[in-house]
Amino acid sequence: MSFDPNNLEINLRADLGINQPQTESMTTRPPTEPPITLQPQQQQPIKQEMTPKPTIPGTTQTTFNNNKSNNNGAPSKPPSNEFVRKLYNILESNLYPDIVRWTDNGDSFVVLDTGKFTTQILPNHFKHSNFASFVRQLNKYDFHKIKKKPNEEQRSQTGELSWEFKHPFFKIHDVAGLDRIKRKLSNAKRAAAAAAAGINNGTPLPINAVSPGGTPIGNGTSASNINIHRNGRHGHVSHGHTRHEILNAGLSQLGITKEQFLSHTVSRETYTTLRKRVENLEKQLEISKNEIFIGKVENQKLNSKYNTVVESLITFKTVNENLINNFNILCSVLSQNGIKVPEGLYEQTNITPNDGKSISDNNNNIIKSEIQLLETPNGITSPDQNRMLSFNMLANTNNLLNNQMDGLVGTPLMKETRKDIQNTVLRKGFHVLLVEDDTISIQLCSKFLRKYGCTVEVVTDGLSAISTLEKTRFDLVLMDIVMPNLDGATATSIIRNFDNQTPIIAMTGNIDDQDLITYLQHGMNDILAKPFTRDDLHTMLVRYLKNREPLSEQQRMQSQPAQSLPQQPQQLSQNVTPGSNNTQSPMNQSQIGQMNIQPPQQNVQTGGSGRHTQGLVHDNNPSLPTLNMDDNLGVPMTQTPHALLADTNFLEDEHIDKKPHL
Amino acid sequence: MIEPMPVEIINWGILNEIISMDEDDPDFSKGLIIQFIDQAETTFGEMDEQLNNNKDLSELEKLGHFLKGSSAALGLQRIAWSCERIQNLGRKAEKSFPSKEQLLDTLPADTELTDSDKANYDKSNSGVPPTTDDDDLYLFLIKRALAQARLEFQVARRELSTYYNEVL
Repeated sequence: MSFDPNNLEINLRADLGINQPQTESMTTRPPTEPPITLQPQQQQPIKQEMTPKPTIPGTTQTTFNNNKSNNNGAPSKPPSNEFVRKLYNILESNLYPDIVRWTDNGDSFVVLDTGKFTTQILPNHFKHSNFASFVRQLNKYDFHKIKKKPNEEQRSQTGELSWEFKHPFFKIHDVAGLDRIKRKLSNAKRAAAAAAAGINNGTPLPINAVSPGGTPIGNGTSASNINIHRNGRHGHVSHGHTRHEILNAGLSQLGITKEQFLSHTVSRETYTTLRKRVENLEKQLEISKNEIFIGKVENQKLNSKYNTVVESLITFKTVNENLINNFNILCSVLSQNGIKVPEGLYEQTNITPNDGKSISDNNNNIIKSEIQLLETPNGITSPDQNRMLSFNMLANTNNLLNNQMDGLVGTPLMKETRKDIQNTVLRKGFHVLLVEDDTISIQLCSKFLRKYGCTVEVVTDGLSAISTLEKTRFDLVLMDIVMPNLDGATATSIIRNFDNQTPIIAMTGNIDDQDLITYLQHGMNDILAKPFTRDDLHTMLVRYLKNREPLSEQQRMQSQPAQSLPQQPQQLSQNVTPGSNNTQSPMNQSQIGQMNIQPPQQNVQTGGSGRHTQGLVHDNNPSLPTLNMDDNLGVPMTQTPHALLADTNFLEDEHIDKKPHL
Repeated sequence: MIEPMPVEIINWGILNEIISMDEDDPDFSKGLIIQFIDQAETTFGEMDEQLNNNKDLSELEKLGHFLKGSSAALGLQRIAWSCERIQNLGRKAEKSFPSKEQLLDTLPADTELTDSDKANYDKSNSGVPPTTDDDDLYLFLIKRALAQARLEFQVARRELSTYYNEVL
């Protein structure tokens, strides 16, 4: 149901006889307002009606003045149906027989001349300015206009312009019947009357939307434009129903009394103000919604950006770690092969020459420094920048390789290191998987391996290597690169999916620098350049198997009750205690001997953890056991270039160009 | 840039290590040499097949790599060098091959070449290189490298026969 409150308010006020807008003091009545007693006001007019006043012309004025006297505290009140009584008196006196008179039946009256009625009677007896207003007032007292029918005999009597009105109790010479003619009182008007009474008693009520003068409701008829149903029921408004009735009907349809209705009514100004505020709030709400939406979009964008950054950071970190690992492996290889590593390279990676720290510590430093790089004020490192950094690292490595690779192949190995390694006695029983397709290489390599006490299993392609490693664990894998079915690098990357511990050494004649990097990136721990000598192979075995318990031995020991020993096997040849001075003192014979006479080391580890460690990758596992006596253990890879240069045997070469004795 | 051809036919440093294995396993090294000779002759034949019929450069690369590995493992470094050329030419990593005069000059002075060696060498190692840059150029260069490998193989085989004191 739609209605215009603005209209309604004004019409109501008009209906109540309120002529002066009271908007300044108007407030919405709280619903908790105590109910106003209506009885006195209702009864009072009735009492007065019992004693009808003598009807004289000009009583209208008196009546209006009576309002003022009420304001002054006069107790007397006009009868609620004074309008009807005035009309009755006029009719009874028959002062204007040509204008208005009783009909012949005496149960209705007729206005014969509406024009004269308006000009002569209304100004003198009624406050209505026009006939229509008078008719409306009649309607409010439930008078009904009798519709004229064509050819009706009354037509001749009253004329075409006559208006006949009828009320069941409005009859000629029937004064008592007047008491039963009442204005169709609504609750709202009672409330208005009550409010007026409240004002009269000097008790201001919050609601002032009523006549301050306490205008009797019976006189409050005027140009009432109640049109609560105007929009929906306009077409149904007939002469027989005033708009006031419609309002009452509408209110009753709504299930509220007029009082309640009025109590929820506000002034136009307040309404306008409120409406503006509501409109403003709606606008603000809309703006806020838009802002929230924009914010959500922005948030999503930022989230995706953040995720991208995090992903690139993780990618970068992984790549970086790989590169550092590879770099360290290369450094180690180069160092062990007696190639000086340029100082600038170390500086670029935060590895300070003569730094006593282990490479693994330097690894951390590098990672930290790279992370600091990422945490530059810009805050965000794009994947491209990551790639740039990675490529820079690669480029550094490549430069190193380009500078040094030519000398790598066939370069005499460092004699000191060789001697040490040769004198390092490996444990027997390491199980080595040889992946090689050339029969001659297989025979040679497996012969060497057996010479060093290893047991050898041979497969001839990458696929077989994968399936074999899935079934059996090996202490070490020697992997050719170029093979039928599947190359060794790819096979290694697949193996790394399920085995990240077994050292896998690439055996290749392709010592193209890019190839080397590729192999390392595929998860290979080291590279054994073909053709390799016995010593080359032994060096590699020592690097990855020294101080290690063969798996077969571990399994055997595991089946026995474990004895707790204070000394634990060193898991990594590179696992140097930070701060130790070992980089300056290569391992010597006595130390090796001391190490080798240790009692059989117990496998105190559970599972496979730490049994295999990848090449030079430092395992940060703090639980990783370290050898107590290893403070002076020389580890080739930790030797700095300076240490290598200080080695007087560096340039010695004994094994090359030796002719066999015939 | 092509690395220079090694002067020594056999890298004795490598071969001696293998020979040292004979202590536990008599004729271990000789067995490997015999296997290699058989392997090399087979591979050379396969290379001929590729050069004359299939003209598959990637196959030639694989064959070159294969024989390079085994020859290098035994210290037969001049064969390995020649095979590496075939490998690299097969993957078009190199685009030239030294002249036969340059290569013959690198042979040790005491090296004696038989007439058949020279005849086969000249026969396979001649002709005008194609002016185009397509596969024909690489096939031509591989043919010359293969002739070099065969010559080196004959020379090494004779030296090994001398060492083992029997015709291998």
